[in-house]
Amino acid sequence: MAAEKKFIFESLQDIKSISSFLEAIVEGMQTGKILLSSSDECIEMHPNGLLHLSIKAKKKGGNNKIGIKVEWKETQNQEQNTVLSVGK
Amino acid sequence: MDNIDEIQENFKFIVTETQTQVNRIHNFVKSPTREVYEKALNRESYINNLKTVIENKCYAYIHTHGDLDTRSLNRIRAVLSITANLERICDVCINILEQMDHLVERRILRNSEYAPMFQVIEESLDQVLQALEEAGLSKALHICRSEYILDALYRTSFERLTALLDAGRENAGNCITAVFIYRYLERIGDMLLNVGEAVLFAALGQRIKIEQFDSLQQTLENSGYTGAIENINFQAIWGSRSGCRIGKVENAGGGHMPEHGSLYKEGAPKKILREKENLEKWNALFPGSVPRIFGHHEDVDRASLLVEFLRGCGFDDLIILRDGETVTEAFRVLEKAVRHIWEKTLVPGQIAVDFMHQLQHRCDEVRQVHPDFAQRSDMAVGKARVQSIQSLIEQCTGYEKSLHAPFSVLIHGDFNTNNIIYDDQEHVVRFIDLYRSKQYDYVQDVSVFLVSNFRRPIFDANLRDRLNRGIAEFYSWALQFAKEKEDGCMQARMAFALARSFFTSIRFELNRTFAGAMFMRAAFLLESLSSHGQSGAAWETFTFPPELLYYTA
Repeated sequence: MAAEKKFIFESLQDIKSISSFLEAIVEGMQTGKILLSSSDECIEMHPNGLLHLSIKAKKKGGNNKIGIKVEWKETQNQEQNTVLSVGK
Repeated sequence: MDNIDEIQENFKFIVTETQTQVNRIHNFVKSPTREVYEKALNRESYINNLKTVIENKCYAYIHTHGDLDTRSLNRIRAVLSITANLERICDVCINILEQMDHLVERRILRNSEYAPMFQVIEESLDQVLQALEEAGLSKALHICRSEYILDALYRTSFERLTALLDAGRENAGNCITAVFIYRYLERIGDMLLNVGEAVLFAALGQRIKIEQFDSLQQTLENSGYTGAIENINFQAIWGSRSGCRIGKVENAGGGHMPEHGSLYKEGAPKKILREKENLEKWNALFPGSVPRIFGHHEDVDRASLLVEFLRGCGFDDLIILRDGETVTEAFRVLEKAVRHIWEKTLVPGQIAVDFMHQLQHRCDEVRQVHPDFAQRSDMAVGKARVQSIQSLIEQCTGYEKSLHAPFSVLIHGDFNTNNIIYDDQEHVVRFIDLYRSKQYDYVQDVSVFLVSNFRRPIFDANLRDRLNRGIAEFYSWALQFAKEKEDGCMQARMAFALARSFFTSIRFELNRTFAGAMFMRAAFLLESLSSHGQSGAAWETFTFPPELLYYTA
């Protein structure tokens, strides 16, 4: 089994600085490559194909939360997916 | 059934057995016989066994009596500690017995040297039972001091024997064996010191080292106290983070002593001396605002102060426990007092600030508790970059140099809420723990006050709300003060000071989530300051979101 790779970054941001992170992720989605790195870990992600997107929002009292989650499976030999053929 | 009488009975046995064993070894050193040798060896396992029995009974007693009062519990702890040390004394006795076997010539040991050592040990052991029974301090101190005497006696013998070795007139093995024997007797002194300190612990409810006790006694004498040391109730109040030990001292009868009792503080001479000087300075400038000094004593490596015990309630407790009206009144009194101090001591003219230096000074301690926070590396999320904490600190240290406070005031220097005492009968605030007080930027006291509220590990929503309201009140008052004084770059200095206070506070917090909340605030402030510094904009235009001052459970 492949070793699990994890990248965690938690911080406080203001609206201006948070935008730069969101923009960097959007740009990575568009180019198909997002690099997440720290001194211990470097994860290169290639969002591609069909992605599962969930957006959750919660408001309770003074607490607000927006969760954006993008998940996808990396298919082996993505380019050589079996072509289903019917008949001969 | 395990009860206290059985513990007491077995404890008496082990004390008596130790006395007998020491006496036996004394006789053996004087005139060795096979009979005494075998008897001593045989008793060793009995003494070991007694120790185990006492330990078992003590733990069983603690286990079955969950509601033991502190005094009884302390006594049991003392019994356990004394028992362990007595058993070690008996082990050392056997070591001496075995060394005697290696002596080529017995005359190398002098009766005039070992007899006084045995006498000191025997006299101390004679006091153990009664000292613990009466919780008598003078007997405990007598036992403790046997260590000093044994040390001195050992030194004399050691010097004589090394001189013999140097001269080469004596068999080296014989000399070394004799040194070992005297050394074992000296080591019994270390164990007796532990026994004496265990009795002090049972009597005072506080782990106090003999040198600290001597220091307390000296300080009391210097303060004019004329009664017996037994008449002093010494009570530990809190462990100080500054490395000083603090205790409350009250008169239990006889002798002259201030009415409300006093506070005894003991620590490194430099700190204690600075505290003393600052207390004198504050008392001269603002009479009654800080405790009076009753006594002072200084040794080479320890010093102590006996100061007035202030009546009232610490601001830390007040904010959490007292009714809204009292809290409001207390804040009004505090703000008025602080304003008075600042106004009276204000010296116009720019002064440099060093909040980042203070932060760097404590970096190692933070790293030890939360290495992952303190060593956060450079990070990247796509093209977005996160700077490492270290480089942020270095950059901000540089930017801070371009920032000055427009004036200085006499600051408290450790303006934690627990260093502010409110007396609701006289409606006054007083301050304690002033060893860091100096002429400096008032922003330091404000940020320490704010973060001392923030960092309290209180997660009940209502209590948290009280803390947040306290923070809001004091911060808005400080902003108003800055405005009146036309202090345009107060927010920038406040950001440096808060970054320092949040960052250094995580070394006291093991709760990762809560420590993380403080770390992220420090990192945010450092990032904001760094990016403002890079932009070259005037510090007067720097602001930070005030929300970061609050925590919601």
